[in-house]
Amino acid sequence: MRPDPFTYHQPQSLAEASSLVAELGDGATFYAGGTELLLLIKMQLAKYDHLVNLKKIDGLRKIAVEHDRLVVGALATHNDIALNPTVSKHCPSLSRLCGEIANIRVRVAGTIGGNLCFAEPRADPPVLLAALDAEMRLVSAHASRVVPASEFFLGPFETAREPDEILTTIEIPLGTGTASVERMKQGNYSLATAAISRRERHQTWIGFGGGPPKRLGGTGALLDRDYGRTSEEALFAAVAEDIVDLEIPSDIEAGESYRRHLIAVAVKRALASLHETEATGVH
Amino acid sequence: MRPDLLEKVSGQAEFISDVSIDGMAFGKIVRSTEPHARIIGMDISLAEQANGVVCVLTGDDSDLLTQTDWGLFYEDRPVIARDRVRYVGEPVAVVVADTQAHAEAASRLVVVNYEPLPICATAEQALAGDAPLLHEDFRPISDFYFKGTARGKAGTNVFQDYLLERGDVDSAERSAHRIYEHSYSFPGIAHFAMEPHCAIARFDHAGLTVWSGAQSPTAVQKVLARVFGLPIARVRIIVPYVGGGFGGKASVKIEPLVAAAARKAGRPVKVLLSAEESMLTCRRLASNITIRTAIDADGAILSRTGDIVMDGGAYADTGPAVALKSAHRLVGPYRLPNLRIRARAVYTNTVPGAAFRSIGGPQAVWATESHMDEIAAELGEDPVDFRSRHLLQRGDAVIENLRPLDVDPAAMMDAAVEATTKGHNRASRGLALAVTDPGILPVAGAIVRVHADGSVEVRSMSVEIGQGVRGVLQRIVAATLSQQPEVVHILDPDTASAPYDWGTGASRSSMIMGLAVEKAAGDAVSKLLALASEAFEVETSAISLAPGGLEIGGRSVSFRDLFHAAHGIDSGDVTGQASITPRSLDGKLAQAPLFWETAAAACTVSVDPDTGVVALDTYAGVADIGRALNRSAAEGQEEGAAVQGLGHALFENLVFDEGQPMTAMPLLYRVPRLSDIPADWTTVLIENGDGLGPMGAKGMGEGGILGMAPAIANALARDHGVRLRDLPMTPERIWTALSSRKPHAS
Amino acid sequence: MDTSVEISVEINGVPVTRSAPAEALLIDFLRDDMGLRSVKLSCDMEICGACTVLVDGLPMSSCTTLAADVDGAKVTTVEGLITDGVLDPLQQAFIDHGAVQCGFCTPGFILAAKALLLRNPSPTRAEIVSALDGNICRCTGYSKIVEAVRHAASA
Repeated sequence: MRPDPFTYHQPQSLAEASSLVAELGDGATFYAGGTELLLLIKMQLAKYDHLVNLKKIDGLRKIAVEHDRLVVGALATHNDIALNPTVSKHCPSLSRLCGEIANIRVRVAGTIGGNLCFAEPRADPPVLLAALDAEMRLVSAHASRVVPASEFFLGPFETAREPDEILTTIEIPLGTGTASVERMKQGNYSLATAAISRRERHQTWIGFGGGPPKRLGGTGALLDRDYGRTSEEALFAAVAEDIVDLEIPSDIEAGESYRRHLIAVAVKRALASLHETEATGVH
Repeated sequence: MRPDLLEKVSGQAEFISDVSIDGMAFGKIVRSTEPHARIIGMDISLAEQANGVVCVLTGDDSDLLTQTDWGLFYEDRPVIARDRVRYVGEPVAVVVADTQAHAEAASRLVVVNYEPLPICATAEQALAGDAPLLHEDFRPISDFYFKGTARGKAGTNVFQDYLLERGDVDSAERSAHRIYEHSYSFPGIAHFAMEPHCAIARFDHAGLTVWSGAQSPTAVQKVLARVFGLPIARVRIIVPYVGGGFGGKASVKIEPLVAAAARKAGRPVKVLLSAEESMLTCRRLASNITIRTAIDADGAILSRTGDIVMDGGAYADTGPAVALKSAHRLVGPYRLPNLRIRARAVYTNTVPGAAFRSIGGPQAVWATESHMDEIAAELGEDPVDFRSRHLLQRGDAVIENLRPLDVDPAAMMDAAVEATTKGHNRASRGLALAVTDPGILPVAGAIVRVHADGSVEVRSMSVEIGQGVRGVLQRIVAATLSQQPEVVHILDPDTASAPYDWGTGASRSSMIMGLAVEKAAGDAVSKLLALASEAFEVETSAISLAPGGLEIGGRSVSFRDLFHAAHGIDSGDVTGQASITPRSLDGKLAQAPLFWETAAAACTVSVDPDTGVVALDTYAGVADIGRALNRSAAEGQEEGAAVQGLGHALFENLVFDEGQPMTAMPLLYRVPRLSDIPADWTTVLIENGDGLGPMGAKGMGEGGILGMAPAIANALARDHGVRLRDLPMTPERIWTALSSRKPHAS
Repeated sequence: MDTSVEISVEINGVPVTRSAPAEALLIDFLRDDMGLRSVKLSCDMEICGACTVLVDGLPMSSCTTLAADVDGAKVTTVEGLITDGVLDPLQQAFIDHGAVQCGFCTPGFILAAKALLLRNPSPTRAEIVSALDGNICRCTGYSKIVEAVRHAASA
């Protein structure tokens, strides 16, 4: 498979990049790691006359702690994040997850920003970032805004980003607390993902392959009430109740009831790994 | 050392997809999107006008062909669809252009209008009385590639109906104490060779030359000669290194289509399929098998019946042989006084079935070895003991008129059990045994040519597909000629210079081609001795071969000296030639099979009760191979086959939904990965030097694929209380089985 | 529309500057323009690893990487692991341990293993498994590949 011809733009600044996409319109899009976009283009599932490469813009790959926030540049690759000591110190769950995405080649090329903007419904990072109260900074030629992860993902392959907006950083508030993420993966995609953060309150988020990450309110409340004493039955019941109205996919990869069960198992395992993190003191 | 390995690790090895021919254009196939339809219109005008396009081949180009339909058992397959398509993926056009990119782009501009026809989505539908017919006429051909004729029934979709029978099953069942019956299903499986199918065709003054990643070059040659009305002498097939085949490149696949495109283009054409397209080209035959066993009051088996229905896809290919072999392979290494096994293969509107490592074997062994454990469980007997009471011994007949069993199944079973006993109790182990009769035709020829500089060339049609055949042939020729292996060069298979060979598959090359090159090298030795005897005027009894030349009465003579003495200049060669036929080795090769390919597998597994995910913890595979001609390569064959079996067991499934392939894409088709393989893995090779091949070798390479799935299923049943009868044993299926078991357990 | 881009890249230690269409894939650039046929096309969708090359020491799928994206980088293929005719210890170990059958996945496996050993000279079995789990081999059953990498690491 080969891509159809396109023009390749290599802007040096965010403003230039954003303006290019704004001017060129529907036939143009931003291009980062390419692990997902190029595949779609090769498969003729997407068609662009212009790719606007973001990789030549300085500073977008930086990872640092700034003002009690872990700031991850959107052009950081999964591999960058997995091996970054600052991330493993402040946000080990993100380190671990980024070290397990797809395969080593995809982790080396694929960027966190690209992953989030692509909004593959089976992707894991959106789930964890929602649980971590991460915020997405979106910059265009004229404006800059911040969108919470919980509002960034609108549906499969759909985000709050406007076409000429560039996701520049993902910012994770640090504060005290722990978080964990577990995924149920049997083929090339996760069937279920669960992330739990434990700060002032518990947040439980899941990914289920059919839409944006979903917050499980009842499960969070159960953990607020009974953290450390929750029985498996109670936890499974709370999860089941939380997802009862959720439209869960059912296809050749897995049927609905199995997927519902795996969501509960993912939550259970995320909780177990949270306990383990706290017990060992390794955050 | 295998001569291919250095080239392969250093990037120098030339595979078919690396081959480039002067003036070559590139073809991209347009494929049917309908499982069964009439083609009521096709518009190729846009494609023809696209950048770089040379021509577009369609079903309207039949005048290029002397014979428009071809096959191995039936002439049922059009070179290119004319007015009708029978599966999603069937070629309807080939767009030929100056570059691969132009061909791909233009191929998307071909518009085809279909009028859908009723389909047979499954074998069950195809067997129904009112099923739509895929092929209205049957045109069987006999003894064409495999011996024999398929027993299909025109006017139905059944293209093979084979019965294997002994004794009187009905009276045995009437007198039985208990009768056990179970049904097992096995899905379609993709070969998933790392190198997709690829061929290059060129017509010129000499005729037709095809470079192909083919396992059966002489079958390709024969079919192409018919399709294009050429003498076999004018059809030349050349096979460089092949990036995996597993049967998926056996018989004939894309070559007639590629050659037709080259004929239309008037220049050489290369067609390289994508991995997806390869998955739409052929697959293992899916099967449903019902197996029934009658037991007497002492727990002895009285009889067995088997009903095998195989989904053969849209064209028969070698499916009739697959069905026949599945019947043979359902027997197992057991005493079964009464036997009746029926195997049918039917046309369906899906990707054509084809040979796949141990044809019909994994399907049959999955059923028969699961069933053996189920009976043992019903009888409350350890499966090892139950099997032991019924095991055949060396010299017993597995199937009447076939060669008596040439292995000791008990020794194999013991070795597998022993290897998985450490750290595990006997009750947790899953076990499976198998005996198969490889469909080997003992017909092969080879040429061994000794040059004046001491280099030796070997011409044979055996294809280096990863099994290491070049290393084996090199070793045999070097030993026979008393030369260093390094001086022996195995040339690329080329029908223009190497004699006929049936093909590379069915575990036959080391044995049959091994015998052929051994004999050809022997012929070269005789000729060298005769030449030396004449040239130096000594008795041949005083001459022997030694590295670099000869020893004549204690004096070393180089090959150059020999030719100098014989010819007057120091140039020349001696050509040894030999053929193996069913009459070779004093007729010992006449009886089939030439050896029984056997397997014993044992494993332990663990299951994640939350998810149903199975982990293989330990595995042991045992094969009786007579003699390892290259130990590392032989182990590699066993291990690779077993891991393919692991794919069958746990992951792989070519799913068709109303004829639409749902998983025929690498992203959606899960094959075994490194993390699926346990560190605790044992491969046992039994070597008694009792094979008919060189140095006492038997053939090998297929047995390892047989035992994995039933061994895992049997371990799951014994250790985890769930019996799975459908492959693959996915986590969801296992979890569902575990869930339905829970009320009883508590 | 002129879609070509200029690419300056060091391939197996040799600096190269070429113009290529923007949409040119790295695999085609390496195979067709540079003649490096060890880079194999198989799945064409980043899951099998047959087309793996090292870009600045890291493994990438050349089937889904633009040639334009290696501008300024160092690219290594198995041809480049041979120095003065001597094989890299990994290449030798793959031969010695029978870790090769058909050989189509072999260059990708060797390069993925090379990337691992570059950052972790003595990996555990688990680390080898994790580094190579994204490369598919349909022939060997993997055990001998692990053996080869372990031996190359301890060599």
